[in-house]
Amino acid sequence: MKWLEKIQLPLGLLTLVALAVGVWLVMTAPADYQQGDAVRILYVHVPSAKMSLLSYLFLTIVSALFLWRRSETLDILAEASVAVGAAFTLVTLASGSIWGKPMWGAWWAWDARLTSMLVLLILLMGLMALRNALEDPLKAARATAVLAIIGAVDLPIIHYSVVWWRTLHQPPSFAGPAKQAITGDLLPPLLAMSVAFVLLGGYLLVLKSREVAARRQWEALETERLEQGHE
Amino acid sequence: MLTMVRAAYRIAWKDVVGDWRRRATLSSMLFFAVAVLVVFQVAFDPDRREATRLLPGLLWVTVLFTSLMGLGRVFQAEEEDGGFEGLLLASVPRGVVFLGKWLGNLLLTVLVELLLLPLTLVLFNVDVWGEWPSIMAVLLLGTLGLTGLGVLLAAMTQSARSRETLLALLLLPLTAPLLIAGVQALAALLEPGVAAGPWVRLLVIFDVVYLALAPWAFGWLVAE
Amino acid sequence: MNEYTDYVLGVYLLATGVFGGLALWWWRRIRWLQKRLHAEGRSLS
Repeated sequence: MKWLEKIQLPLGLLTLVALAVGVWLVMTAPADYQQGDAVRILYVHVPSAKMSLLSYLFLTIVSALFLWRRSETLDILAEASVAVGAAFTLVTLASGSIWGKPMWGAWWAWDARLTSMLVLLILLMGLMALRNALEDPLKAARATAVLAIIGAVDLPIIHYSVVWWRTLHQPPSFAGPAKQAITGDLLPPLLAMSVAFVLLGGYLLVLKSREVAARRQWEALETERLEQGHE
Repeated sequence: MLTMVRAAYRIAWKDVVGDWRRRATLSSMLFFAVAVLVVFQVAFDPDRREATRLLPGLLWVTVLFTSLMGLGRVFQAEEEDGGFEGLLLASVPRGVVFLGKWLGNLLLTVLVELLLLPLTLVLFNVDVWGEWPSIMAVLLLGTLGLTGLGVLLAAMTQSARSRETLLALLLLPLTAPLLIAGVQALAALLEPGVAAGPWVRLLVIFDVVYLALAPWAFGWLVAE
Repeated sequence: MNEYTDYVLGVYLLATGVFGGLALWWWRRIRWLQKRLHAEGRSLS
């Protein structure tokens, strides 16, 4: 995983620059005529939501490849993308909730997007817990890969069942965050922040993968020493 | 083909009969279900009208919690005497082993449901006896997918630390669509003029997806 | 400045905290593990 080390610094610098540009565009963009300054929350919320779905997509692909190819690198990437995805999902939920307070007058509404995001967060926590709870690393890798794929199949079903549930039961009285049409002034900061968040996700993934790889190497060393001590 | 079906059937039968002799899982599931009902009654103290409104959710929550009890034990016998390897070494494909385990768990869960439904109607004093067969049909339809997913997750967590907690943590979010569809379908049955069709269809989708996915996923899970 | 400023600031601070915090934490852990591995005569592969 030497190549990760090589791209870490350039990617980090690029991320910082992109974030600076994004935040500058967010600050200089005019306030929305309906939402006022609260629209600036969406410049974090929307890219973060996109990134949490993108991380899950990445996790699914890496998990499927792992079951097929059995390479440890793929498993390391899978473990890292769970952590990165959880961070993005957490920020998505928190920012959506903070956006909801002034816009809906409540911190939380059981609308389809927020509910699916919450289920996604629980699923990611489950993936972490499952990996921690299995002692055999190969078993843990396999089980989390299978669970990730089950989750990938389940998430669309969850999303659409919540959509049907909410619309059939009580017609939506408000649009969720990100439902508004994105036009004109909103576009430049949103695009800039989206690019910055993609880079940020990549950078976090590189960092976490290296951390996982180093930790595994360290743990392997510890067991090796333990076994020598027994002889 | 026929031998495969017979093998799956033998695995299921061994589990169910073994459990029946020891009365281990079945009785604890049943008592747990009654305990949940009592907790509900004490916590919400519903009158007759409220009870009818609460009934769909109440039934599904009880079924979900109760099935967790059963799922925790699906692979327990194998885990204890190391029979899991033996089961896998037997010259049947992994998918068939899964089907056998699933059938066994399905049978136990349905047995519990058959007792749970009249018990709930009596204890909560809800008079929907006329709808009894259709309620049971919806429960059964949901149970197919629930146990399919559940047995797969049980296999996944069988050698994990604190496996029952983990099983609940994994199963509950993934069954969200099942819970929504199941509760709405039952509510539609009990409320005149509401169509249960879309929700029943969602239940069927859930069943088909999991029962198609699970044997295959089980194969990956226990691969050499 | 208007009534929503607090919410907006809150979101940006929170995002900075979560992402910055994680990046810093992982970065420091890599360094720490690398040092320990190096002391054992292993280099990070």
